[in-house]
Amino acid sequence: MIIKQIGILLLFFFIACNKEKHIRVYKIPKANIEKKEEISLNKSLNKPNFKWDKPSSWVDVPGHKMRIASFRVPHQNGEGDLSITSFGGASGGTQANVNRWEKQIGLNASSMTDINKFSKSNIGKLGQYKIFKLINSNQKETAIIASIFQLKETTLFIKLSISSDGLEEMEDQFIKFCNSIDSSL
Amino acid sequence: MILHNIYKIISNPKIFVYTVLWLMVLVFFGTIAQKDIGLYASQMKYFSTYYFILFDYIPLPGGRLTLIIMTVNLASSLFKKNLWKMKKVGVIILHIGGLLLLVGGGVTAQFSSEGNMVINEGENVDFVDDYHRMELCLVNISLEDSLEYIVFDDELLSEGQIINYERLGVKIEIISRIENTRIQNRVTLGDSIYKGFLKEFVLLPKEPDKENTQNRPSIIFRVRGSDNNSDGIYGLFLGQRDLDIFDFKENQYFTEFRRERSYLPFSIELLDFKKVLHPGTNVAKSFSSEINLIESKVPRRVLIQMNEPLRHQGYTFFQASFIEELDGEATVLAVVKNYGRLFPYISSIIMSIGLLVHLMVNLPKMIKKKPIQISE
Repeated sequence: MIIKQIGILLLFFFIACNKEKHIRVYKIPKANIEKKEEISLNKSLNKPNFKWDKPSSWVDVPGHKMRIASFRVPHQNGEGDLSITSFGGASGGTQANVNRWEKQIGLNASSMTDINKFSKSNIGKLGQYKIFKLINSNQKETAIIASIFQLKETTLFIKLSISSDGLEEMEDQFIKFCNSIDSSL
Repeated sequence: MILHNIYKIISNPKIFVYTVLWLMVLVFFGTIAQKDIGLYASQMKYFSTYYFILFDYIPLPGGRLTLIIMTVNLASSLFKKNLWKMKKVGVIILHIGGLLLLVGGGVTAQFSSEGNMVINEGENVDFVDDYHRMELCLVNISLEDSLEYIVFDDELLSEGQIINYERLGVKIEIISRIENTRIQNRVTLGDSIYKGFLKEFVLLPKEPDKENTQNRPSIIFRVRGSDNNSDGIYGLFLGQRDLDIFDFKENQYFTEFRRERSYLPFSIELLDFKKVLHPGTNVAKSFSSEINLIESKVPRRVLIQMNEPLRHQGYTFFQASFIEELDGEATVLAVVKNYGRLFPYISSIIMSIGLLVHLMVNLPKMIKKKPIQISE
């Protein structure tokens, strides 16, 4: 009797361990899929197209899958790395992205109110965008100047990682470049 | 005879005393450990585990095992013949109340879930993202009017696991699971065995953050049996937007590694998010979300604010946080589904009744007690 009961218990145990129960299959009508996923999917199938006017000294760096484009940005004492990326939706929000950049250059994370204070608004061909200039006075070899374009369905990020001297030298060219970005569709 | 002896051992009231003492030790060390390893890791190490290893070689009982022993001990003590007497009815009720509390804890630990919902103003969301558990999705995008999701639960995604998914005839071997990930460019393009994103990037582990939700987990897996050049090693990380599209058996799929998603039988639309700051500071005084709770296409307007959650169909929605964007705001609701929510209330009432009954039963005896004689 006891052996039977133990047998039944073991049977339940093994049924419970069936891997198939950890695999779920379901369908969602395409009309109902969340906006964010739709954007991601569309983006993967058909990457967004932008055009711009870049300074002749900037050098194209191909091969970055996650980036729309990359440039080497030479200046008097070295060179910076400029990336153009685009992500679906709000892509984590302005604060999260600025805080991430601040962390990259050893700065403390700023509140949204502070970010609004030090950011500058500008208007380019794509519309209004914000510029964030991040310099750590204790770590001058890496500074960041970046801009965020909050577009209808995507967020476009332009980020230049460069030394603080280089940043001061290239700031005007960076802003001019951001102003020139336009949709090629 | 043997069974009787076993029963005698497991119903020994000393076990209850020792397990209570051990729980106190666990609570002490678990609380201290939070400082170094964070709340979630500490909870996992000391409480939600059957055992843990101290100093790399001493196994000690964890919270879950301790509570099981306590429950078995308390339950078995109820079968003692000398307990079932009229004068001990209060003690019996007290034991049942305590047992119910432990059972409720077990139900909560086993079946409850918690996560969050992020809803932008004007958006409608009907799923909850788990805080800690992940899932791997294969999404078929070749169907005409729908997306087909094949979702592999967290249990199948530990290192070394091989998932044999017969319907597609593919084997997925989990090569690596990284808790917190650093993404780095490859110096040269990867070997042809690497597919999609991994051709150009490597996923490397970095020191996990104390707060588990701040980590960026990732997974590296090998696919076999796709009958074409889609076989190879793939890598995915949480929040990856640039999805790799590939072919499996004449269909196109993309993969996604995301927080485990539970769909609700209703949806929530955020109408308006409001926040009030303490004057002159960035500290939120209060924030609230005006939402439409949409069930069977019928909307009902509800206000969720701090300390005033929405309870609906066993789910509780707390106003947890918010995200400010350039073009609007998003609310973050913490969502808890706790099947054992009522157990503590019921068991506390039962235990209070037990104590009262015990007092009533023993009151006459206490009153009749001989007066203390004072020697001259």
